[in-house]
Amino acid sequence: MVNLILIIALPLLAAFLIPLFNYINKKLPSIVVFLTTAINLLIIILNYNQIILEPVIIELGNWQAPFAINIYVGTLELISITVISIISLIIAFYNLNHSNFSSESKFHTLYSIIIAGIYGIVMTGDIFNLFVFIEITTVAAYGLTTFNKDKGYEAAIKYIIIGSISSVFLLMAIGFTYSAVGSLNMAVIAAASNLIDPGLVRIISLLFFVGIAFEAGILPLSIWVPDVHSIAPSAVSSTLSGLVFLAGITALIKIFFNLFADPSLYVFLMIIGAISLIIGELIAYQQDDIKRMLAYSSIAQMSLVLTIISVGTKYAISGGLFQLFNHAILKTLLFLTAGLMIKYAGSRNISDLGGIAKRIPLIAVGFSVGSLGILGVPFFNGFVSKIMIVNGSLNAGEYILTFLVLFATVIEMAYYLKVIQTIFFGKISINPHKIVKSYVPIIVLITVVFLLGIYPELITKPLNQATGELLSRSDYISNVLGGM
Amino acid sequence: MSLFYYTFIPIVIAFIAYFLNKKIKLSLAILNSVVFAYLFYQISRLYNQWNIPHETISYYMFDREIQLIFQLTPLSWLFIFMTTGAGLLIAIFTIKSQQEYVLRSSFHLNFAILIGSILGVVLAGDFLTLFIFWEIMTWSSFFLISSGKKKAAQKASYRYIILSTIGAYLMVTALFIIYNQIHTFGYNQVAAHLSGLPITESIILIIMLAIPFIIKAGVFPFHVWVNGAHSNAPKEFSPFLSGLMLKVGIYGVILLLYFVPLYNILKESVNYRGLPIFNYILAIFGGITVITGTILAIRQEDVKRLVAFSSISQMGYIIMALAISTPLGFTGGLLHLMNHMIFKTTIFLSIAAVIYRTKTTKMSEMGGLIFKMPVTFTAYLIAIIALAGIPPTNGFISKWVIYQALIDKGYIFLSVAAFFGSIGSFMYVFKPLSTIFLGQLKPEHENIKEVPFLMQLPMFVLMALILLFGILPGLQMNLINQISQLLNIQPVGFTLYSITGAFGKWNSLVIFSLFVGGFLLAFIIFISAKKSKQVGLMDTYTSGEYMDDPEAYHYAYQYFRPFDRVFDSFAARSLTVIYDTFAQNIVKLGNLFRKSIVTGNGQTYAFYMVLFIVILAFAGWII
Repeated sequence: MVNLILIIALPLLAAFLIPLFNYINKKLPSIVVFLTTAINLLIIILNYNQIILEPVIIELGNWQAPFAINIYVGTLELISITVISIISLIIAFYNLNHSNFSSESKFHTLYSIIIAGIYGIVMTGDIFNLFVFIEITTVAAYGLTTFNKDKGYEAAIKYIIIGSISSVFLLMAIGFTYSAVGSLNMAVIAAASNLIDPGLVRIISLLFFVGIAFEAGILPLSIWVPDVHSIAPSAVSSTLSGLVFLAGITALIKIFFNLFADPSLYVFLMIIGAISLIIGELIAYQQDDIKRMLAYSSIAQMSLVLTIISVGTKYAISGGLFQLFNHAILKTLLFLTAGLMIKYAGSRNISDLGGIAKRIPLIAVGFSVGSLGILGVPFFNGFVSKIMIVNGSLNAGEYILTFLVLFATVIEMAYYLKVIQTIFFGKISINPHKIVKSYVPIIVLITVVFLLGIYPELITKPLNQATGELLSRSDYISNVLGGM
Repeated sequence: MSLFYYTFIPIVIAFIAYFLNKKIKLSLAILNSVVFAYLFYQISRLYNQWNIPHETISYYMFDREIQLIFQLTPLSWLFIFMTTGAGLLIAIFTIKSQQEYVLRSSFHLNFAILIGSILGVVLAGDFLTLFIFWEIMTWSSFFLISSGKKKAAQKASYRYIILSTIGAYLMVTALFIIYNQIHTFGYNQVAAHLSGLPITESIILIIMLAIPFIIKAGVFPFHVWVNGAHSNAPKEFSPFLSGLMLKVGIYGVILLLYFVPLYNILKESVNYRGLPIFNYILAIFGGITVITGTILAIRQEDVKRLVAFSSISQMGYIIMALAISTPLGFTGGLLHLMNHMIFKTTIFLSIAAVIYRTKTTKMSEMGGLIFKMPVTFTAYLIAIIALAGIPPTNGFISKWVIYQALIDKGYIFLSVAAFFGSIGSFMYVFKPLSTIFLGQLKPEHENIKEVPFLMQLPMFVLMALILLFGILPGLQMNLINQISQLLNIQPVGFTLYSITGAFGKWNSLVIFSLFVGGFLLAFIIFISAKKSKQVGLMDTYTSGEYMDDPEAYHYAYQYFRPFDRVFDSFAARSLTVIYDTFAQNIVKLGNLFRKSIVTGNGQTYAFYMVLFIVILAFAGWII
């Protein structure tokens, strides 16, 4: 039983040692990062069975909760970190020698830091620690965005402006909470949330929402997403789109279901999510730049997840969470293949990507598998989650919401199919550039997609357990505060 | 062999063969044909084994084990027999014709997946299995249509899949509303539950369940996708599209109305002239489809579009016959379903053969091919005789039964539509015959030969079937009566060569012998007359005048102009425009959002955040 804190500590350690490794050998940083992510996955696998039985709580420095920062890994966090570790491993493998920046040590340092930050957001049990890790993640993201020389700075500046405003709000929320409750530990706040003045609770929850939703992909707070995700290198885009959004939504869920479980707020979340979903899909259709289109699609998917989860019933929450994990896997596949296609064709525009599927068949098939997964074709993983979402919202009687979700899917179909048709059946109009073809990440991701499509119980069984834990706050509180 | 394997063998073989095809050319097409032949053989052995138990596969979803059920009934047997039969014939045909094709291996891959998924749709025993395979079928046919050579193929397949998916999502919504109440998907349980609901709710759910099938069948007002899909699909896929894909929609309608059976629920609702209102409206739409398809078909210059519209109008016949819910109507609808598949496939295969040789689809650019491609001509001729409904072909019998059914119940509009469709159909099928095969040969087509034997073989088989079923309709009636018994519809009396209609019996043996006798008589007179002199074609045509450009005298363009002029204003108002405008408005809305929200200006974004908080605060979050 390896201490789970290593999952966060190892990438941080690797990040700060990379300049030293870089001095020894230029290739060493990428290998170090790859090894770190592999060790993380190993640690998680070793601890998996134990965490399924009972949530693991680790107190830092051996101080008891609520005096110390604690790490809480329940079933939901377990599934999240499993997915994060697999995907970060695949992206680290891709970074070994396929990325444009594989030889820059600064890239690997920042990548390592952002991975540590993501794990931290998911696993933490303390709200100020959450703030710290969100800041770590965002600052690393600011840095990673600027690797693209022509437009990276502009996108990063917009990101910084919005990020700073959001952290101000987040800090205000934490300040209010601390002054009202007297502790920063999530379980203590959850236990005491009934005693706080209801008006204050609403103010705090609004500030928390604004502070975290910018990291979670909800319009209009995530208006920086299209710029940043399209400008960043494809490995970074997949991390941001897949993993950071996953962490952000997980944090939002923990706050709105564990900390301040106020059902009257869920209506607001539903409406915000629905509006963001429709606007995101409609704007995505307009795009000609393929990575921008994928970025808008990420925003729309995250809003979809938020909307469904805020319905609040067991079926809806498990459907939304499954969609979240599927999206992480699929978006990584999409961004990696899109990045390779852009490098091959030398252009980001969809209209220039005509007919390249004949030259780079596996990459084109990878893109298609990713899009078909998001659209929900049977035997892909997206089908099961989409059916669960429809089931969940109809179960709760939300007919308009179901109609909006399905309408958004039809629009999604419109723009993804445009790309698939162009790359498979269009006319070749570009001079191909030489690229290093990377097959292993694509094949691994396709296998995972089909595996989850045919055996969804790999995730749905733990997910049911996670949903149960999420909906019963008292278990969470008693688990953490045990002896008190 | 387990029913489940029928669905998965084509799909698995398709993937294996796709990778094999990279090494050995032609292996994919041949492998496809072999697999389909094997499946066809196995399915024909399944005839009369209606007592095979259901098979279930457990799938873990929604917190419980869901059973996916597969079952075999006479109705599904009919469809899987037709599917594998048609698939086999087309696979044999495409061994030769796909050789010069772009993405040829993806054609066979998708075709095999399509066949597998249609088998899955038809063998499904519960709605979830039906939906899963329905989606796979839509997607594989989307990729098949997209691989057509024409540029318009992309737009056509786009329209097809978006329309299909809207229908499928309506069905899935209705399905899950029902599932949340009874927690199962089986046909009988759903029907039992629906009959317990208040009548308006169950009618709305039934309509939502039925819409994807009606869209797939190409009935007015959803016929807009058929035209584009047919004319732009690869020429080998069009026969299948017409012959079978439209029929799967009809299968769904039969399934819902009679098998589930929702007809009993509909009977409780408002009745108009003896029919539930849903059926009556469906029948009227069928009639309108017949008329629209016929009028639009007569105007076409492109032969594939012409046959596409003809398919639409024939589907209208079948829907009309099924919707009126009488034993004769049901029998007529199913007979026409089977017969239409046979003769439409023949027409499409012969046209595909012509396109294969001449590389064009515009009828005005062809002509005089009767001597160059005699087998193709014969196949086409017999097929259009069947389509027009002339004895002794099978098309006559199915049309006769449908007329009997309509007249028997006294539906004037529908009978008029049916007769109009019949007469019109003869007009539009004669047009390709005259413009492609008769008339003057174009100079560039001097060296055209007949198509290879592998492509002629399916045509021979189908020609034989047309005549066989025309003479011995009892072969088909046997199966149809079994289906009628399954669905609790009164069977229609028949023997091997006669059918009992509402106003008398049709004895095909007598009629066939009369035809043969007449034919023999004419042949004897022809043989015993003086030998005729061989004259050049243009000499008789121009009465000996000299001309140097025979092809200018080929009457092909705007063949039926006087008739078309009558309906010009009608054809100008196209339903497609309505759909397109609706889609464009949605796109414009998105454009509006993009221009107003995404300004690219960092300060505006910061302002959005504060505005967001203020709006939410005053909307009720805080206040």
